[in-house]
Amino acid sequence: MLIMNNIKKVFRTDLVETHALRDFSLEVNEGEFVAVTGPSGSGKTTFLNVTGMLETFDGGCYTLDGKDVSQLNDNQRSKLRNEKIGFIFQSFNLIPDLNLFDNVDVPLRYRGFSAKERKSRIENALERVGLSARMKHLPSQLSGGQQQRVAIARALAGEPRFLLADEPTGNLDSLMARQVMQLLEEINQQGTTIIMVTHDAELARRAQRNIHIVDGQVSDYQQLQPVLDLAEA
Amino acid sequence: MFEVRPILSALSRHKSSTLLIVLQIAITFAVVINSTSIIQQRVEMMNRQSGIAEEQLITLNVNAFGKNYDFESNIRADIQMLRNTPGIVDASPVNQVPLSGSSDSMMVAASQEKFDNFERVGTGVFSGDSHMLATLGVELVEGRGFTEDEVAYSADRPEVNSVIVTRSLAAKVFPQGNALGKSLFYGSSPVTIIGIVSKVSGSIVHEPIFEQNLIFAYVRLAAFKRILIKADNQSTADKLLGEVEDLLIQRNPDRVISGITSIKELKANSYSSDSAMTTILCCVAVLLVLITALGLVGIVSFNVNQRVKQIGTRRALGARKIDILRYFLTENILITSLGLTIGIAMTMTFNIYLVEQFNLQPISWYMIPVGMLIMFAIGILSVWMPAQKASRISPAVATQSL
Amino acid sequence: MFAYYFKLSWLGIKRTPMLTALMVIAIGLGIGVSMTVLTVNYLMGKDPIPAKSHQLYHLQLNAMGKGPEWNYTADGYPWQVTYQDVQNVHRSEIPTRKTRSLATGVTIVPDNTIPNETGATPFLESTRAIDRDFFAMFDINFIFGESWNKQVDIDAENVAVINKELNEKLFKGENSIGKQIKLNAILYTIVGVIENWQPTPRFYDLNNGNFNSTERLFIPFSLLPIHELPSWGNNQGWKTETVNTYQDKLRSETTWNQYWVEITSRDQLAQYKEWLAGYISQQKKLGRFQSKKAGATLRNVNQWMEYNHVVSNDSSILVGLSFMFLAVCIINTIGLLLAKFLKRAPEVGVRRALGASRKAIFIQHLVDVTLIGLMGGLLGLALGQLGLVGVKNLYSSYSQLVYMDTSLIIAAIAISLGSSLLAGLYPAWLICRTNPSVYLKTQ
Ligand SMILES: Nc1ncnc2c1ncn2[C@@H]1O[C@H](COP(=O)(O)OP(=O)(O)OP(=O)(O)O)[C@@H](O)[C@H]1O
Ligand SMILES: [Mg+2]
Repeated sequence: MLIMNNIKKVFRTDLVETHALRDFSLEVNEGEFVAVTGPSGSGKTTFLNVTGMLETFDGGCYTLDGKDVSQLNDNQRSKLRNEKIGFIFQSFNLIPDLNLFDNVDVPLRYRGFSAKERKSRIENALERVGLSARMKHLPSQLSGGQQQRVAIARALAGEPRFLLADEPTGNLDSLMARQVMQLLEEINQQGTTIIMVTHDAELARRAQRNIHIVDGQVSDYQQLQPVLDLAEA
Repeated sequence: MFEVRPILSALSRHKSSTLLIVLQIAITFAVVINSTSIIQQRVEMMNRQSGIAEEQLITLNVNAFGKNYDFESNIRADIQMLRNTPGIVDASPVNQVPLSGSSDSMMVAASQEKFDNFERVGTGVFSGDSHMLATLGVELVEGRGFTEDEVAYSADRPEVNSVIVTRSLAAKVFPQGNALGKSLFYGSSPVTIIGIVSKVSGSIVHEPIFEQNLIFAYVRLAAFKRILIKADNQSTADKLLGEVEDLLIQRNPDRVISGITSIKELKANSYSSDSAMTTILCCVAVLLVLITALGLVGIVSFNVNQRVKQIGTRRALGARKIDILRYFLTENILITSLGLTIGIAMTMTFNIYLVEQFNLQPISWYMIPVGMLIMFAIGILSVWMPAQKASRISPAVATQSL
Repeated sequence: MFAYYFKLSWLGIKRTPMLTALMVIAIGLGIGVSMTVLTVNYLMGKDPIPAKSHQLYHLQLNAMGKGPEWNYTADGYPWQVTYQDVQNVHRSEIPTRKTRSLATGVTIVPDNTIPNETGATPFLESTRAIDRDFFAMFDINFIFGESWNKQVDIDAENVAVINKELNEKLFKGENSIGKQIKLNAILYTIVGVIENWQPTPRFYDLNNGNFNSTERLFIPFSLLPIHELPSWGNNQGWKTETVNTYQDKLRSETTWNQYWVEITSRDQLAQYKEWLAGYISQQKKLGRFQSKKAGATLRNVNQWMEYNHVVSNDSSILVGLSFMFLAVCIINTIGLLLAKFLKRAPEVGVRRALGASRKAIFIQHLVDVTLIGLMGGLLGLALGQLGLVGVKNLYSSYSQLVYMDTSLIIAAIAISLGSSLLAGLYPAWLICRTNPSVYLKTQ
């Protein structure tokens, strides 16, 4: 259960104040697959960062699984993130110096699992994305789609309740994008809640629920949906 | 320890830069340990007890040139006058001055037979009048000092019957002990040991026989005489340096007074090369550690800057600030350990070379662990700041397109 | 093209000021420390008389009896020779020039019977007793007059040669030839005034301070037995003998005199060695030179300096340490350069993609390194000067020794450029070798 009420996020620089999120309210239920769309600069990534506790917010109330996030300190947030949230990034963010096995290992290390447990989880996760044969390879030796699958394996290995993805297909061709989407759908069917930011309307439509963000606020997606469809057509 | 294997595999991806730091730490360790060892030995040598009242002592030379200059009456009168001078505790003519750098020495043995078989022991030779011990301020541990009548005044080296030796010489010549009352042989007729003093520094600080010395009671009559003066205290001694020449010239102007110096100054001169070496080595060691530490700071800061995204990703995946800090510290400890392993080997090799080539003493064993601890501390200190900076990287950078 | 590379390096330096500063400091300190130490070491061991160092030989004789060997020197030869040997050897006419030598001293006494005397109080003056050839052998120039004539070396006369400085002090710098000075209680006539002469190291007498000042007053060695001139240097003996009077000392086995010869050809040297061998076998018959190591050795100036460890052990140790110091600085710089260059790798990828050749990339980076090396070298020179001032303060006796001449400055720049190029070679090679596509890939 994820509840956001009137969340504000302001970026202050020397010259300007950017209101990236203004009175942002949203509820996401267990097991949902939410696609987030919206124009560039509307605040999608900011929303995802706040959701994943990568960033703090300036006002409003955010409860994740019954916990008031604003009450948590950095260490507690890190722990919560580590246990409950998996991340998938547009640019994969694999650690170039580590091979696939060690990359997937990263969140598990912080989780404090035993070596045996980690090993089986890593192998399972890589198996699931179809890359178990390339465990010892370095990220630079993989294609973009393969790298993103490793990133998904890394996000899944800890069996998070929430999977946050920021344009996971943004750097991939449409075939690759569909493969990744398929993988995410499978994961969702096994019970993981997914929030995915995307620019691809077709992919967004495959999600259970669509949220459209405009200017730091959720706009009435029910109404906008047909308009978007028309625009695509 | 935490995360060792992934750190090692990440390091192995940057073999050359890791190796460079390792090598740098190794050489730094070798240089610093060996320098410290030399410094320690020199400081130890410079801090040796001299056994004499060095702070209160000054010395000077009287060079007579007058045609009808009577050596004996003049030296007696000079010494008498000095002893009567306020601020002067005692004075004695001497043949050589401790710590002065120019020495008079000879070979002695425990018996004539040993002497003839060249089983001889080197010793510094001091001679003066009956106030010699009091003037030097040495501690008589056994037997007695010289009496007034025992002192021979002569132009030649006179035959003497008694001698006072330092404990160090007594132990060398008579290892069984009980040197008091025994005879010393040195070619001419033997002399009896009437007293043993705890310690008198010789003249040449770098000689192995520095502390092996003996004292005769005679005053050689010559145009050139050295005099040793003991003042009340150090400040009187300093004041006397400027006044004593006038005193002596007023008493008899037919001479030149030269070499008026305090023993303190002679000592400083004798050890000047050692103290200079100590200073230079200190500078070298400190600068070297500084260079290495700065290098570490530079490399780690650079790595942090290079790995901003990576660190952000780790944070996004659940790493706490302390985990990031620990990552860099662990990395540094691993590198330092490797560097020190090689460094110990280098230190030993270098030390063996120094010992063989330049007759230095080997390093004390405890310097290695102490040095290692210090190197670890320096490593952690240099990494601390950049690592702190790394731990402050926001996890949000993971989603930014850099 | 070079101008373009310079511009690029300059931009790079501005973009990474900390990294650049660290490298410049590393190279600068490395050069500064090693130049300081090297300068001292080089000047210590420098040939003090290059034109003649191979012609001037110092004589050592081992006249010891049976029994333990002389163990102060590596070859068991005393540094100095006895009076009787110096007198005997001096009879040989084979060397082109020859001189006996002794460090002694006198009291210069003001005397109102001497005109032009300025010194108000008597003063001690360290003095060297020598033969007439001394000045010619060691290339010492006369301002006034000349050395005493040959006969004086046989039939002693009270004559003296003084240097310019003493001439200033005693005679206000006038031509003092023929004037008299009173040494101890005796009048001497000045026959010559020489230039101030200060060889460093003071090779002609390494027994009494390698870097001490030279004497200002020179008198004939032949005066030794007449005025019983005392030794102001070392006296070393091995034999148990009674030495009470000065005459005893002249007859004794005490070594306290020095002897130099000038020999100009190989034949002459061989001939002289043969003569010395003859002298020794003759002495053996008289009961001297009984040791197993008995004999004569001739060492030229440089050999003599090496034998006497003019370059101190400490100095050699410091040279070793300073090279290790420089090594650390170079390794440090390699590490930092590697970092700096790798940071630039994506840019290099773009440049390669835009048609830059490997060679161009390599040269661009070497230019970068050279610039850093030059700055480091200049910093090093400044630090080296500072270091030398420090050394001068630490070792009072080195004051005339330490300075940096042009050849040393050129060496400093060369070493800094050399070491920074050495440091830059590997990083530059690495960066120009890497495949540009790696860096063009996203990530
Ligand atoms: N760290 C920051 N500092 C200042 N302003 C920021 C920062 N991050 C985001 N912003 C601003 O906040 C607003 C929202 O940015 P955000 O990254 O959430 O947009 P987005 O919807 O993800 O856009 P895109 O589709 O292009 O990725 C933008 O106007 C952006 O300029
Ligand atoms: Mg975005």
